[in-house]
Amino acid sequence: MPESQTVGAYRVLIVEDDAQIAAVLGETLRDEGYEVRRASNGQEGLAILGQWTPDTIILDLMMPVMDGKTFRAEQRRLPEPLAGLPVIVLSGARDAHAQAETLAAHAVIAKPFDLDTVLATVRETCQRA
Amino acid sequence: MNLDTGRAASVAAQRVLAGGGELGARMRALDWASTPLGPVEEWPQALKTAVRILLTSRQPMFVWWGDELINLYNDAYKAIVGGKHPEALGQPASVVWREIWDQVGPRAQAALGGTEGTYDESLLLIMERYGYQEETYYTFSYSPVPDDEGGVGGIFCANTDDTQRIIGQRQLSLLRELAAATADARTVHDACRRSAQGLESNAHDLPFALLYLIEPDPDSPEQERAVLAGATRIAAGHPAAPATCPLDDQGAACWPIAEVLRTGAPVHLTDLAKRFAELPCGAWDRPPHQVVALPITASGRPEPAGVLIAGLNPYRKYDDLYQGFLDLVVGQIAAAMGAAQAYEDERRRAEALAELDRAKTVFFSNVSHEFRTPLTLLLGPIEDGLADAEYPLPPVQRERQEVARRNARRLLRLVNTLLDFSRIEAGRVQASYQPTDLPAFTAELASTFRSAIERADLSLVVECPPLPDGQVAYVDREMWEKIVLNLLSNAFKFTFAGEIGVAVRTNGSSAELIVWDTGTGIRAEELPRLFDRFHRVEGARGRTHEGSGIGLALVRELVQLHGGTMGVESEVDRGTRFTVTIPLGAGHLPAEHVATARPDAAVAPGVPGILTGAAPFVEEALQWLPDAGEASMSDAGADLIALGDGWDEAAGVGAGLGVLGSASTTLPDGASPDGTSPDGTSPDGASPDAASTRRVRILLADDNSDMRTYVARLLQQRYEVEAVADGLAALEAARARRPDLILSDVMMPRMDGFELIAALRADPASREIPILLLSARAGEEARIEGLQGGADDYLIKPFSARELLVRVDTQVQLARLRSEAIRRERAARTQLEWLFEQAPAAIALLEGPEHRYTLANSRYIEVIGGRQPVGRTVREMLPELEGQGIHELLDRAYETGVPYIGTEVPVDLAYGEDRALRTVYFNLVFAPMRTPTGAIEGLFIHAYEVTDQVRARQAAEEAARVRDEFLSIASHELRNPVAGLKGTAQLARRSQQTGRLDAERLDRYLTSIERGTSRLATLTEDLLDVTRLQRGELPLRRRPTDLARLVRETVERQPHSPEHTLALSLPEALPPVLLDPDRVEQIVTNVLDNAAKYSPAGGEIRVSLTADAGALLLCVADQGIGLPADAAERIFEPFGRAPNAQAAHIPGLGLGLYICRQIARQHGGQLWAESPGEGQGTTLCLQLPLTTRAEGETVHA
Repeated sequence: MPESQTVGAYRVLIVEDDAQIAAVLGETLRDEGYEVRRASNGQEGLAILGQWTPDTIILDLMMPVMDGKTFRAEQRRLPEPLAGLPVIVLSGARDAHAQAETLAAHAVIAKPFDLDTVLATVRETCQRA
Repeated sequence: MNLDTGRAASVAAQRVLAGGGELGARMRALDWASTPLGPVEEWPQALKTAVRILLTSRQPMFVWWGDELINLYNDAYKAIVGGKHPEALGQPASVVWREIWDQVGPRAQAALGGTEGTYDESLLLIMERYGYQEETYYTFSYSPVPDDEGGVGGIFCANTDDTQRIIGQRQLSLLRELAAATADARTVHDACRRSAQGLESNAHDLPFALLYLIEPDPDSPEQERAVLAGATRIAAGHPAAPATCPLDDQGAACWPIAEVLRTGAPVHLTDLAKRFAELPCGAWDRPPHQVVALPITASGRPEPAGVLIAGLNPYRKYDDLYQGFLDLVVGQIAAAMGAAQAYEDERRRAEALAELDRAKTVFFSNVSHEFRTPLTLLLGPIEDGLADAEYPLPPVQRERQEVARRNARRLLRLVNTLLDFSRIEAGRVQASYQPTDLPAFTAELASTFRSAIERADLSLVVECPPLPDGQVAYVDREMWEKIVLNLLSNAFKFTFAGEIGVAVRTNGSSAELIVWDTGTGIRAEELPRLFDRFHRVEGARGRTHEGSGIGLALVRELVQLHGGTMGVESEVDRGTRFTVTIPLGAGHLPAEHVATARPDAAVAPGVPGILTGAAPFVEEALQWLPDAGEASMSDAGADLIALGDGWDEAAGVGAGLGVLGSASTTLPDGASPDGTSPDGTSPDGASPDAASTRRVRILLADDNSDMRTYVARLLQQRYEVEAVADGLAALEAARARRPDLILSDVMMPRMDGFELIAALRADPASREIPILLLSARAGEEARIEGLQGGADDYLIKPFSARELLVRVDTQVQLARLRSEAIRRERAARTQLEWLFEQAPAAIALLEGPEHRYTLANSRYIEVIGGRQPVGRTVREMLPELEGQGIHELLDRAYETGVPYIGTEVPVDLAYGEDRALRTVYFNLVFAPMRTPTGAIEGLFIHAYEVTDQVRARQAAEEAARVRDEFLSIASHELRNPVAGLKGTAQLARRSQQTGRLDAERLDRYLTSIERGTSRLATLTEDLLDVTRLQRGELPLRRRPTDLARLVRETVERQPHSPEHTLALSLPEALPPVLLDPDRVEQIVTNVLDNAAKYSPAGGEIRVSLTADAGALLLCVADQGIGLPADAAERIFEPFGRAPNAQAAHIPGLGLGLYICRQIARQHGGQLWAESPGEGQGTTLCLQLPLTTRAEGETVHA
């Protein structure tokens, strides 16, 4: 597919504790040619950022060990370009939109989601970045 | 609805509506299905919660639910609903409260419309609860109650009935106003007028009032009628307020005054509207329809003096409380009238006395005049006889005639003096002021006394140099003659050795006449009364005891007629000096009485006119000389005593000195050592208090027996006296029988006066007894020391009998007034306390800047845990308040005078033996109390405990918070698997479309979908279980079950985690017990799952099952992360999860153990966790009773 080649260079970090969701997202993005890494909580996510710089971060909010909110705060304290990385918030919380706003997220996707929406959002975010 | 679910529904209703007293029972009985709320089991959870709170609270509460705001309330609220109970249950609020819906409706709408409740403090609501409209005050808040969909389902309201408090305050304030307004009333009418003004202050309970006094009818004095003496909020002349009201049928058509007077009891009229139109409304929007006429009876009087017509509050029932209030009002008015009557009587008595005095003067004047004529006619023939040279009298007859002439002249002089005096008193004196050579005239008058003075071996000194040129004195010569001769006669009377002097000199623009002597002198305390009419210096030693007591009074009157003044200086045994000062010239005299004759004409020496006036004085004086008659000195000095430490020595000096010590020698057989004159009247003119029913008791302590006997005799005339020899004996006597006054010497053996005072004051029983100290220690320091030592008064020896009696009398009167004042204050206070006791709130009065309790009602004492605060300060009483800011609020209210009003103020108070702190919530008022002058004297505390209300609200808030959290967690936990499922499905489709869907992918997707579905199913089950448990709808289906087998099979079914070792220790088989095998398996699964989740890889999970006499015990122990000490219970709460940091990544809703514990309890068993600490593993234990068969459970064989 032509798109897969054009976006092939983009990297996405998925920070999500639910293994099933992480698997679905990872496989879909890889199928589309993205390079994907997964962290099962905020702390793992920060560890990956130390060695691998993605173009977009997909971030769940309710996670054990370090939740999405803390991760986002820590990430924004990192040196550039890491601090400026765009974040797509993925949340099952009732007030996901309000939370995303306080986190200055670039986009919000509520669970359960459509994969088409996820792909479109990720693509747009990566290209804008 | 089939039978089974119907039963479940009724069980549910029973649970929601359990307990709650009468209302609980009524709610259970009500067919809710036929109301807009529908059957109880379908009620939203929020409504059920609200109803639970309401039924378990003793605070009046209600819930209005649904679009129609259906009314549900509790037992405590019944009193508020009143007669509408029980119909009000289940009715729409707008129907229940239609009469106040215009006020209440908008508040309800406000609460329904938003997230904020309403709050009203002591809002006036005119309710109709018992068939009449009624004034009520409520403090209440409408809180919106969210329904299960997140909207507002209804209103929750907790009420405080402030009606009694508001009315009580209002009435109390009226009584205060009334007392203040009437304090200075001087007449009965004045008291009524002021009372009517005082009643103005409460327009609520007295929309109008009329005060009628009963007085004789001037048209027919044997008849009485009522006269309007005061009107409150109603104009005099209004048809309902006639100025007079006859006590007959015609009057009764207006007010039943005659009936009240006849029966002496209040009359209650309910037909006011029929009697009068357009009555004043007071504070209300409509006039009273009832009135009470009450008798006003002053204490001690049999008949009512008047009647109070009180218009009644149209929005209150005339009940015992209202009547009690009116009784207090009437009592207050009666007291004011009584006080005014007493004042009026006193004034009338004074006026009568003045009138009597005038009449007496007129009588004297008339009598004197009548005496003069016969006396003159008597004297004329005697003079003629003595002067007859033609027929001279033989010597014997002449001598007799001279005696007759002398005494007739003396009588004439006395009569003349009396007449002069009467004239002056009556203002009928005809003075004629002439320019006079005053020194020469005075010297001439003085010389007429020379022979008499010299015959008494005294010398006469006359110093009358001429006045400076140009200065002329105007005197009425006859009057001046009387002035000089009276003073000379007086000096001669009291001088036994030395000299008598007369001098005239100028002093600026005045002339001074000085008459001095070296006589016996006058004691200082007599001087102020020396010029009083008929006053005689008792016991002064003089040449004679004769005397009218009018001479010096006349002199002063005459001097005053000359525009002059008179003074006297005297020293006992040294002499006396009178000084008359008159202005020179005639400018100060009335012009019509000033004559212009030449001065010299009248003062030629030897002018017979002068000597005619002088002769009687001189003749009389000569009679006083020893050779002319006997001196009367028998009772000289009887009144004076000089006692004290010098007593014994002084006694030896004898009577010769006349003053010192004379009393001691005359005491044993003296006729009247008590200072009263022989006729029994006491020296100060006051007669013994005949009105006092009981004789006043005086305790006398003195170690000197003579002194004791003397003072005792003095006092025994009027008082009952007990005499003892020292302080200790006095103390014993005072304790044995309480005296009204104690008279004590200071220096005494065994116990002195100061020690005695200290001992008496230390004992509450004798603290109030007035004490008068007697001492020889003169000087102001000793006096101050005496008073600071606690004596009420102090008397220095020597003292006169009169002084002693006056002081004693003063103390007795003061003590009487004091005890009366104390009694009155107690009565007023009792009244106040009664009102406070009625109040539904905690009330206390504090005094002074340190906030000392002077009163606390029983509710207050209850609130502070039964501690008795009166007499102590707030800081002493409630030390636990330190640091809570309450002391500071009290201080500020006291210092600034700004009342503090606080709502739901949390206060930590210490309760019980261990003084454990408990947080209590109050609606508080700290109001400053002021003296009549406006100074702050203390604080009024009004505290209403609202702990239940606050707690109920907090519980409701907590319930809402838990539910919110539940929803938020549940939504997250449910959406994750759904997202996974949806994502997997879409991924499968995409893979198929892009040709990537091979067998491996398909298998993976299907496995993922299966796992997600079962996760979702478990979650759904858990949520359903929780909901059922909370509704009490999780019935057990028990069967005889072997628990060992059940555990074994469950363990086998459990997908075994390869990371853990499982160690089983189970008996082969156990006797079957009755339990629900599916539910117990749920517990075992959950517990095992839990152990696996929290155990590290490679850890061992030990499962053991034991049976003892009464119970089965299943324990599952892991080697996992363990629990902090305080978390062992928390994990059994809904959404409760292990708080350890490591636990955070372990998924789970936190419902499993909560559900398991509920199931265990349903079986009559227990489920708990044990952990030695974090990182040291956890053991979960399930205990089930061996014989589990609860009553009423269904058994499925």
